[in-house]
Amino acid sequence: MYQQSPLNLIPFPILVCNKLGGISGTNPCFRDTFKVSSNNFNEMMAHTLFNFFDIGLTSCQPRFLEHLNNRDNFLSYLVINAKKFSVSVNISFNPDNPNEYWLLVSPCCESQLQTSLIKNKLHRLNHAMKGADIGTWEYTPETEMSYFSLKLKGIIGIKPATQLSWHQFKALVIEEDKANFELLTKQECKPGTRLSFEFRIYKAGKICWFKLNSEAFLSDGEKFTITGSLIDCTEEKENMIALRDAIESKNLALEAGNIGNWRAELDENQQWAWDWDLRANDMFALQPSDIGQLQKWVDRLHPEDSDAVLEAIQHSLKTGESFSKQYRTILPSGEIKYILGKGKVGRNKVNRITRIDGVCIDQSPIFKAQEELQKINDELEARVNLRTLELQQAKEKAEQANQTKSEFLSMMSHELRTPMNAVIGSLDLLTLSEQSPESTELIETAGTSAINLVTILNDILDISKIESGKLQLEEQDYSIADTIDNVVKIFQPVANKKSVVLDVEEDPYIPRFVEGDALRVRQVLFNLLGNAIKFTSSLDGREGEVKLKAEVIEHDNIMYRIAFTITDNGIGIDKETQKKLFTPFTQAQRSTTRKYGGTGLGLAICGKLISLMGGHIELSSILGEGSSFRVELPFYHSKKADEKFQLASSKIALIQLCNHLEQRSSNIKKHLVAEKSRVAHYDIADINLAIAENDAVLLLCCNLDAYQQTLLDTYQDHQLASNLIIGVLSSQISQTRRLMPQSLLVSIDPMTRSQLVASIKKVIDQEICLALDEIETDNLMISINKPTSKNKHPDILIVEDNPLNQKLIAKQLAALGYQCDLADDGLHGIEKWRAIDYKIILTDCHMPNLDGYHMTKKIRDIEQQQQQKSIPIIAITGAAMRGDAEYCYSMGMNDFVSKPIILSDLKKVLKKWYT
Amino acid sequence: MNEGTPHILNRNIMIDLIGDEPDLIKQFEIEFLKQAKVSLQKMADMYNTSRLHEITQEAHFLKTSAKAVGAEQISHLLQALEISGSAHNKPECRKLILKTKVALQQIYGVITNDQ
Repeated sequence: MYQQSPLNLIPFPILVCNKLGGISGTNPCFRDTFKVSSNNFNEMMAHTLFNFFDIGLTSCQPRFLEHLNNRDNFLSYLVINAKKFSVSVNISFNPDNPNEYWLLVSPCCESQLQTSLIKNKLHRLNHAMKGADIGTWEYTPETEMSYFSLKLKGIIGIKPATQLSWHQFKALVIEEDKANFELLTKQECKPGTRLSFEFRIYKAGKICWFKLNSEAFLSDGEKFTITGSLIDCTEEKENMIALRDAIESKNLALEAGNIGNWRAELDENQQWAWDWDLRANDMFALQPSDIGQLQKWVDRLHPEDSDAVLEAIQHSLKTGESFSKQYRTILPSGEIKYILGKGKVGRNKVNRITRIDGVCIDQSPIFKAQEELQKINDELEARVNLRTLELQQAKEKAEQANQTKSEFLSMMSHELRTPMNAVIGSLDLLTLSEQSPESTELIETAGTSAINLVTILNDILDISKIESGKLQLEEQDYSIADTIDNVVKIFQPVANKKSVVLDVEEDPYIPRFVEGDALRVRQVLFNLLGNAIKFTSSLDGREGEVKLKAEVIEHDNIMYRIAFTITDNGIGIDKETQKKLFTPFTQAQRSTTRKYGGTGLGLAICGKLISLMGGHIELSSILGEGSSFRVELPFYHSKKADEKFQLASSKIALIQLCNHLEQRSSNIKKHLVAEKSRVAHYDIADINLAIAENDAVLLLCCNLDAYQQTLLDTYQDHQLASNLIIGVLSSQISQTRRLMPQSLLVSIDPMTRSQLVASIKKVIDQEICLALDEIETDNLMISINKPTSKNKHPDILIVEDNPLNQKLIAKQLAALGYQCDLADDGLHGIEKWRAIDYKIILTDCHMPNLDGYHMTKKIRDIEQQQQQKSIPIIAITGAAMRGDAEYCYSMGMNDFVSKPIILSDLKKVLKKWYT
Repeated sequence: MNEGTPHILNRNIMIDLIGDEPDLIKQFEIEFLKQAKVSLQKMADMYNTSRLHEITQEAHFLKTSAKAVGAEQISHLLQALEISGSAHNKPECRKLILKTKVALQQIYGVITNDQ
């Protein structure tokens, strides 16, 4: 191929190869130079001819191809036919074929190759040192000549261009480490002496660690020279320091906690090699030579714990689970220590358990403290039990004494009441007899005192019953509104007498009936309201006010919780007295008892009753300003399922004469609506309409003087209106009564719900008096002639309960020429039918005793039983409603006509059925 | 009077029932008056003793007579009374009884004026 090629003319040895290194030819010069024939290289790869001396490889394709592609000349041995030539190879493209290379392979000297080799090695060494971050230096003390490699400068943080002398280098070293450098130049140092030390330099504001290695030698045959390397060991040093700190810290902690350290590792024979530190050794009072001898440790274990501990360790080593065991050790001195052992298992790379590391903690001081604490606890418990027993006995004695006292009081009260009743009765009788005024006064005083004494005895009896646990509560349906009404009615006159305003506010949502003990609730309200009025007066221009408020505060499907609040602006109670107010025989002050009377039992009874009923009482009071007692009581829902509203379907009109009655009017409306009334407000000008349209009209007036004329006019115009109720202030009732004697009056302050409902109901439910005497019928009486009997026996039966209708149908039949018999109801009809053989029965449907439908059914049953011929039965229905006809037929009737029967209809039906 | 307004006493009804016999009709009207007076008093007594269900029955009883003699107003009132009685609506019963009394007084007036 290259026969005629210019290649053959080139007088230098040329080897041609392609880009992959495959030999495609040689020129004659090549073949001459290396004594080979042209076909020696058929299908050979060029790299197999070159032995790269610097890497010692006989054949290295990648290295060859790298040179080839980069056209990088190289020195190598050329090995052909086991002959080795030193050659220099120059690479260029084939001028005729860019896909081929020409390799000019020129023989060269061996020394040339060796020089290249050394250069190459130095080059690689430099690379290696650069890569390893090793700096080099050299110093001749005699001449003070020094050399620092660029790498070294970089390592210590100096720019490469900076001139650095030995003294300048030493100056960078921190003071404490400079002494190391003195060692380098000491007299003792001789050629061949090697030194190695670490020192610190500030680099970028941070202390860095360096390691210096040196070796002395004589340069130029005479001069003492030191050379060496320098590496940055800051990271290694810091790690080491951190590790040392950690170990030291751990040791200190273990030391402080008296914690021993132990471990075991699998050795090359797969045996567990044990080891522990001195602390652990001391803990078990072992000799230093015993460290690592497991049996020595085992010998120290308490016999009762030994097996369990060893078993636990074996378990951990087998399963990898952590070891945790508390055990005892017996020391040679006989002392027993409590040890807590803990360990964690470690695994190798193939996840096999290879070690266990753990600690042992001497917990004897804790156990000792616990033992002492337990001992103290036991002693304390024994003492507490003894004291509890003493207290229990004392309490039982006190309760027994209290019980005895209560029983005694109860008995005494009961025994005293009987003769007291006789005393009261006798005094009553005495008042009936004629006495001198002085005697009358004395008898009245004696009577009042006797009644007061009985009241006191009743209170004592109550408190005794409660305290001895003999008071039983009753659970009955009752009306809270009625209870409030009852209490208010009692105290209203008392409040009026004292000019104290008594106000009542009831929640319309309080149910009409609840289940509870009405008597005891009344007793509580009676006491609290009585006290409020007793300790409240209208003085110095200030109007005394007492208010009773009742409201639902909570309810569910089972219970209602109702709060009763009694507020007054009376004398009030000081803080100290408030605390003991519910204690028996306690009144605010002794002076209170003297001034107001009473035993001081009332509130104590209230408190205990409320507590018995499951409620609670709260008191807030300011001395001189007034008091407020709030009682919360639970009540079960009433069992009266079909509670009927008292004013259901009624229409009630409200008229207010005074504007400031808005609130009262609104409350009244709520109560009426709660009783299912329909309430409408009217103006006084529309009172005629109100009276005509409503079942009751409630006219509210709070100022008789201002509206006297209006009320009088209304009264005169509607004197006969039975549904007009006039509501006025309780203090003005008498005055109003005098002005309007026939009017229906009701008090509006206070107006309890019960009073309101009762007043309205009285009007609505008042009897009807028709006074029908004016319809005089006797003079009008014209008797209806009985139908004349023509010639026939009656063969039609009329069953009808209304005499007028009987007569009417009889007349109609007579007009048509028929005779009939009459029966008043179904029973009578059957009786008649059995007796007489009628041709047809005409019957009303709705009748007393037995109606037309069932009469027909019975007749049909009898006919069937007796196999009689069916008689035609015609229904006379009051209102032919849809379905009536079907019902008539279903009961056995043959036909029906509407009532009243038109003559033509009657004629038609008889024509059809009368045979 | 409108066709839809009930008559105090619609005599055409009786004519349809028994023919145009004024005397006989009069007899029935007086008979009704007597019966209604007794029945209404009964209903007032029932009301006063809160026997509202019985009012329903009594009203029904009298209603058939009222229809027969053409006492349309009373017939309507009694129908309403039947409903109120069974609904136990006492205030309404009261009103209706009083209205029935007024209607009866009117019939009485018509009958006595004819004589």
